[in-house]
Amino acid sequence: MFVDIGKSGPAMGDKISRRQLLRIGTTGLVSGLTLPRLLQFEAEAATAKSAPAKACIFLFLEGGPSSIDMWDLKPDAPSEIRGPFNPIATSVPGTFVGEHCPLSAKIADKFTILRNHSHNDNGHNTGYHYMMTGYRPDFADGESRVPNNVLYPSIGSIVARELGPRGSVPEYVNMPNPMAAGGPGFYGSQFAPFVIESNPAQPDFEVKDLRQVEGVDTARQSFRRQMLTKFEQSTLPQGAKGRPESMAAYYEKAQQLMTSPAARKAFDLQAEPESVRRAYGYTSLGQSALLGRRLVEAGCRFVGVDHGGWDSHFTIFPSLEKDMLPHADRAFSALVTDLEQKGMLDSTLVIMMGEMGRTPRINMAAGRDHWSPAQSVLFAGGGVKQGQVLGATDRYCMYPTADPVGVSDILRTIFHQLGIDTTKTYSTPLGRPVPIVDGGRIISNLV
Amino acid sequence: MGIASLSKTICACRVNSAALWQFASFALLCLTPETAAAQRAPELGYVFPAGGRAGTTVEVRLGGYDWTPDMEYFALDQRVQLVPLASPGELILPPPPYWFGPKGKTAALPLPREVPARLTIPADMPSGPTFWQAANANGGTATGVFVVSDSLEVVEDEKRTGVQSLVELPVTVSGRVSKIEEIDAYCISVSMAGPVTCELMARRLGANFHGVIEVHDERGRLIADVVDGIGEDVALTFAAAARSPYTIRVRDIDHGGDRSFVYRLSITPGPRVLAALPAAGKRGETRPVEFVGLGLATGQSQLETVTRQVTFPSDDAQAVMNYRLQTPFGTAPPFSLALSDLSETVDQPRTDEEPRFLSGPVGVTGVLHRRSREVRYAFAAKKGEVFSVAVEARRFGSPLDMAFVVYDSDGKEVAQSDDQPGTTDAGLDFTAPADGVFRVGVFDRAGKSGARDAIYRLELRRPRPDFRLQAMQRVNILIGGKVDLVVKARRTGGFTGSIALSVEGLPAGFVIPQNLVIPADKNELAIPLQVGAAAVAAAGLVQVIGVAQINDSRVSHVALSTASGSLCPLSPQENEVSQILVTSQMQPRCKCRPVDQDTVRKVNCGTTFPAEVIVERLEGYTGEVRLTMAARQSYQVQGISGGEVHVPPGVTRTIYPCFMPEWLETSRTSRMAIVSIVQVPDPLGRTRHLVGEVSGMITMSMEGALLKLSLTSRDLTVRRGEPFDVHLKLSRSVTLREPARLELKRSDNLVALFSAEPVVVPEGPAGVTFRVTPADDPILVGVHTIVIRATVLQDGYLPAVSEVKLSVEFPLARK
Repeated sequence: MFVDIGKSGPAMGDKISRRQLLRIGTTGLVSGLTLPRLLQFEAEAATAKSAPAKACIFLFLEGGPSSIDMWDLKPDAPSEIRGPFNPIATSVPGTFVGEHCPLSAKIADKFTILRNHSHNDNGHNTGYHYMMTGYRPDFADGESRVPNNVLYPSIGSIVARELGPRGSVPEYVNMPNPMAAGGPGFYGSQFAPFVIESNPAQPDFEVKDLRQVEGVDTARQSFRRQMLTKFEQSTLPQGAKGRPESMAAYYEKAQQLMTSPAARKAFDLQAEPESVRRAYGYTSLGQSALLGRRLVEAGCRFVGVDHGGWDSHFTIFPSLEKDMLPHADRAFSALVTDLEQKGMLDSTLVIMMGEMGRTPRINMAAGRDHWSPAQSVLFAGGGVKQGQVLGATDRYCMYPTADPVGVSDILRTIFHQLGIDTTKTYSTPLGRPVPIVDGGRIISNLV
Repeated sequence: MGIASLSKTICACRVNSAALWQFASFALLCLTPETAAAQRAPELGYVFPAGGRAGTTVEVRLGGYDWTPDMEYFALDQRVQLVPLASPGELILPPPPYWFGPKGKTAALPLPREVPARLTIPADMPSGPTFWQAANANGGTATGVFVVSDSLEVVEDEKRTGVQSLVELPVTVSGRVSKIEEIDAYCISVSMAGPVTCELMARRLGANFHGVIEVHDERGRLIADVVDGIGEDVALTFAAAARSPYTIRVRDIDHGGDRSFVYRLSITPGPRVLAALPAAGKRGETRPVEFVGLGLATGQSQLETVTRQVTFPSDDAQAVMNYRLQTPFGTAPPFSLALSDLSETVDQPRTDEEPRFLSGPVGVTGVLHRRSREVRYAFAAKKGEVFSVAVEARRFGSPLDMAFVVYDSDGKEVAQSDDQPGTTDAGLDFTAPADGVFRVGVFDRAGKSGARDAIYRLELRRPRPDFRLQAMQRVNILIGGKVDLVVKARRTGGFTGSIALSVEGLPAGFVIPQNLVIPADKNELAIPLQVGAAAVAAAGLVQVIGVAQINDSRVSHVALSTASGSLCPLSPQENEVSQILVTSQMQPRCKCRPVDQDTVRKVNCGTTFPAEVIVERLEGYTGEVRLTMAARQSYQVQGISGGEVHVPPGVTRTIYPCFMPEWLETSRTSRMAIVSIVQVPDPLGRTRHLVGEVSGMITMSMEGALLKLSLTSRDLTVRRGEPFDVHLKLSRSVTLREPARLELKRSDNLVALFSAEPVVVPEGPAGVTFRVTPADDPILVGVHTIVIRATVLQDGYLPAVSEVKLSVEFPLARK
């Protein structure tokens, strides 16, 4: 059976929700994924990998956060560059951050600021693709399908493939929206993110895909699955005998997710104490970060949080001061603190960055434009060194002064910390070899 | 070939004066002067119904953008009376459903205000489009189209819930696809089996949608359909059985809809004419004309021909005649036959390659009956003689895209022509470089040759001494300012003299110099239009008249302008008008900007964002300022609303509340554009409403909702007259501490049928029972949808809202 999910579902492309997962036919079949294989893979992964980080929470500030207003202030630069924000001291002597990141300043000893990340793709969708896959896109910037990484797998999909699941929750999750370049590429739908399709900040938040369909009890669900199996067996061509079994395993996995108390518990944000939820902030970013922690706790390998609104070409400072910086500051600091308090920080790599930075020079509309040559990236946990600043930019925060860290360097470092063999190469269906990461080096002094 | 090839055409070294002339008129249309900075001139939208029968008075609703109560309305044809019956109403927001995802990011159609008006059409008004315009103290609008007909007219019943029956045929329905996903359905039945023709007019009305016509039989099967995929109005002819009901559906190709998507659907029990040979007839002549069309001879769904004797009118002022072909299978819809002063002939299909010799001025209608074939003609000319050569197909509704090449006696190409501005037809003025016989090779670029309706008409004539004038159609002038009204002249046939210009109908306060003349050595004159600083804002239709002495005659012509009417004119002349709307604008009195101008603010779905706006008064104005949503927003509006805010005198900073519905996508940046309005008296004591731009937009990136109301009851079956309980769950963010108020939200038609006492719910999550009392009214039988709304005030005045819909069924028999 083949169901064109693009016609009947929301515009999510390869990112599948449980509903779509249950409808997917041939994509999963092509991969030959079966439950025994899945379980075998999981078992192998659990024993084969020994690495500092077991999981990664990736806070993606879509649109391009402004480094010079957050993590790399230049108080001595002219006013048209330095902007109105002042630096404040942090818990690390000699390290300063922007005044609207006070909570992060207090825990600066628990993370590293990398100030010399640099690349040269100044587009949103193209930069997103580059950052999430390590490969330059073959399309021009502008509106594009989601996911836009049709060929190259995203970091999350690679992590999902290499590490496999370690609990009852999906190994790769996107929230609250699908990440624009978070797709599995040629890896296929089995490595697509589970997208929760709901905003954790909402008071009625629940993952609808985990909810039992009203009026369909377990027995009826089971009956439906049997019907589906029979239908597939009667309609699939000769020679496709093994496939229905594979799909049955696939459906089984999906149903496990639906019926698993552990999975339901992981997604139950209401179970968090009010004080914890408040500490993260009742914002999309804050509650997504909190949910990310819960999912990692339950076994998720890679949580990608898509947080938009950072593309401020006009009147940037009120937006940063009133909304963007407080939200990001609170979410990031609470996540790192919470992970540490739960003893999870060492095994959970936390990264906060965007697809690019913003121009140091303030434009005519009091905004800052796209600027990929310099961006600060925050790393915490997962075995990375803490309380340090790596790299530097010039006096106007325009370019790294030396030794710029590229996209491949960041990806290779992430994979390294997660214990992924970065020398691996997979071939596309047409036989083209695609290394997990294209070049790059582990960022010195970070690990 | 299309408009896109314009630049190529004008760069061609052999471009003729006619092409330049047409380009100039096109450029004039594009270069209508901008209004003064910060002024928001009104824009024209639509008229509904978009047509009416001659000799009747039609109640219409005029729709426009950024309209004010002091609007003036103009019918460009003085025979038509256009009388507004009230001021513009409230801003109309598109109702649900909305588009989400990528389509939700497409540009929003402007938000209209509507005015009821009365159009009186005299009985002797010829059928065809007529234009209208509007103006206020902020400027004048472009033109809109209203169609006058001579046959039965029906207006769509927009409040119906099912199919609208059309009892009498032929008929033209004026309707509109007023919202997204709307499909208008009409039911017809014919007494005699035979062809039925459906024609949709939408783009010719200026309605920017792509129409689809579908015909379904009694069993709901689709038996015929046609889709506008290229921006042209569509028509279809299907074979109908006698006394069998057919449903004709009209929609947009993309299932879009808007109040501006007006259309006219003509349904005629009869065949459809596609082409005529000749395509034009000489005035006063009676001659056989071969008609090509669907079902003309047998009534079957096939291309057929019949021949009729046709008498062409001799009226010089008439450019076309509408001919209704009568057949045993019904009378076809009117078909336009052009009128000419030339000898009109039909070029019979030829198998040889020899050119047909044209001995003098002539119109030749031919058919490209074989694919990819060039047809050749020849004519003799002496060195220096000028000929006008035109090869037209689109003008006559033919599918061909004609071009031609002129060769000299040696076979060398000496001239060529393709698309002229605003059309795919070709034409040029050719000056013979030497004595000899020249050949004209005509061919199609569209690949549409090979059918009997693939006709074209070649016209060869010696241009007579004359001139034409062209001017811009709309001029806005700030009071105290000056704008040049540019009038371009095209002289033909050897006329080289000067042209005296006069301007008639200028409103009070406009000043122009005396003795306006386009000198003999110039092709244009910029008439400085000036409005004195003390003048009263006014608007009026003016005409520029040129007079020249040509040989022994005094020749007079009115300058023509290109109006914004049909989006798919068959020829540029379709949109030509002889009036120019001149408007004087008052100085802006207010300059506003959001504090967070164009910067992204995080806003929760379902809440009201208090956007701070700085209000600066200008020109000594100290009074009240109103802020309201602008007609032009950025993306699809999706229910975002703002209402109207009154800023008292002296207040320079205010809050504009932007209500952002709970269903907005968190992945989309939403924007709100607003305008300012101030009321000032003019020197005549009239209140004028000055609309000003507000710089930048209020820009919001959506977060999840703070308040969510959800149903714990399933859809209900209840009894009439007996109260029933709806069980709800109210979830709210801890940041919402005020009590919630639950109330029944009723549409107009349900106000008398349902009632409920509001329920106040204190802070915290809660299960709520909401009691609804239905009327004991038999009209309730069936299923109704009721909406329950929960509102919590943030900061005491900013509503956070969540709604649920519930289906309630009332069985037929009272239990």
